[in-house]
Amino acid sequence: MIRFRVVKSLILWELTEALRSRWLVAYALSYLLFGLSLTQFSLMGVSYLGLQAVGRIMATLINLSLYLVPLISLVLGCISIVGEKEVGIVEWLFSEPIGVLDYVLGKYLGLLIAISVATFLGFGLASWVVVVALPATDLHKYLMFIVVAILLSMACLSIGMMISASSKSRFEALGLAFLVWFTMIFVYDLMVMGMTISMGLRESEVFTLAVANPVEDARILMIYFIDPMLTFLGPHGAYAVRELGEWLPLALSLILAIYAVVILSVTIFVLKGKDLIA
Amino acid sequence: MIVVGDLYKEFNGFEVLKDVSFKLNKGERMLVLGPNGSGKTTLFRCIVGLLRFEGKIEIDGYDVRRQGRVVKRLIGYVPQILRFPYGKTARQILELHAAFHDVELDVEELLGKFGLEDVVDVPVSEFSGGMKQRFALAMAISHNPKILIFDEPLANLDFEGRQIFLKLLRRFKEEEKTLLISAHRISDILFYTDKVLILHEGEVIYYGSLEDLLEKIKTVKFCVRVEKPGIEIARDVGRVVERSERWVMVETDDFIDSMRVLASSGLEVGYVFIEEPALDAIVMRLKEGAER
Repeated sequence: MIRFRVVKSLILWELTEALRSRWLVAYALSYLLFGLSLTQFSLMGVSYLGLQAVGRIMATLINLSLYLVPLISLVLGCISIVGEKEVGIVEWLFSEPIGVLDYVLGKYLGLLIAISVATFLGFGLASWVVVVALPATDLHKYLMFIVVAILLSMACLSIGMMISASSKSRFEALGLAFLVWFTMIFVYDLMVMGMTISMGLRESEVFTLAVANPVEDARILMIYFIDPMLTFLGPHGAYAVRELGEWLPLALSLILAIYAVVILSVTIFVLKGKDLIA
Repeated sequence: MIVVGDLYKEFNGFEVLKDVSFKLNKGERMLVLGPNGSGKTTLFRCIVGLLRFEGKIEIDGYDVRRQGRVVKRLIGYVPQILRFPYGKTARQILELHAAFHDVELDVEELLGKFGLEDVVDVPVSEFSGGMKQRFALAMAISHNPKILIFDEPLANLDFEGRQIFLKLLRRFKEEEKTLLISAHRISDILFYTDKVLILHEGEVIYYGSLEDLLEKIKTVKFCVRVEKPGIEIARDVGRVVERSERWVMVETDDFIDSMRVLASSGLEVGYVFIEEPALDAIVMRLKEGAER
């Protein structure tokens, strides 16, 4: 059973810890810096592209967030548990009347809030520049974009925490996290392409494989908010629109949320099955 | 009440605790002794629910494995190695502790009792070893637990801290707290112990009263300083273990008789120091006794 007062205390504790983290500060600053620069460059084309510039800025920011959000979520997640084990404070923490569920949930939500705040701040300023320069009707697209980034962060943070729960040291966890990040961002696409060509996969299979990767899932979702017909994505995009129609954003969001819940449950299971201290 | 039955724990095939069993009733105080690596810390960590184990551990009838959170509310624990979150002040850590235990704490008053009133808002990571130990003790008793588990609490304590701790032990007796404490020497908490459990290589080699233990150990080692150099000490004072010009170290199974012989020997005796039996010697003696 979850003790909400305990979880609330752990969330606040984790939040203050995370907000002091150099990783998070670096993330917010790079987001801000890249976001503002890319927005500025894209806005320079507004005079001849008109409102199409919004799509261009969005596309640029999508790519940026698909690199940065998984990276920071995996990194903060992967050092969260094993880091506390390494510095030895887990002995004190778990001698307190808290359960593994309280602990994981408190850490997870605290980190998620911290990453969301940093994403909102980093991305918010870039959005503000766009909103000032372009019609305010596009503001909702930016808000949806942030929501998707947070959903992606939820899934990746879960993966990071599972890595942390299974690792023996911070270095091992960081190594694994970077490997997962590299696979999700670069290798996975190539694998799906290779399988599509070599095995002659159907559109439905390509789409299923694509959304099994949280980053791809988020990419499709973000593109949907610029282009609801998903024409950029080719046949499997057309398949998704045809089969899921207006349920597409909900379905893809649910996949990310389920991803987060399932992997977080595995993390709790892993931690319950081993000694809490090294 | 603490009930431990057939407790077994291994790390990667290495047996750390082998079928450890004991019972500690309400208000009883037990000293856990054992050389380094004998399994004391592992035993305590199992009782607090930090490690998985085979066997049974019950605290006040609650199963440590299944009702860990309830059990931890009953316990005040001071680990052997004290590590607290980096940069967090004593107040912040105690406030979190209070939230976990659903209690209200007057942080200043609590830390004042441990001589830490001036460092309430200082990060605990900046405390000295002795201050950390005092802070850990303050935290362990802050939620008024029924059971106290202290893993080598005297290891880092300075003189002031030691006095505070001994005062606490007196209070625990009045309040009928159950106490499980590990130390390297019996004399550290001689007056505050009802039972003794001695671990050696993960096995219980002694479990019983302090009096019975002292009866079993029997042998006392003492040093005598004679005023005139080179004088032989009478053989019937005891077995001479070591000697120099003026100092003689003697081992005896009957200390009172040895003192009587020494007093009537006519030797000019300067000092007599009784040496506390080393843990290794106690372990050896107990094992010899068991083999006989």
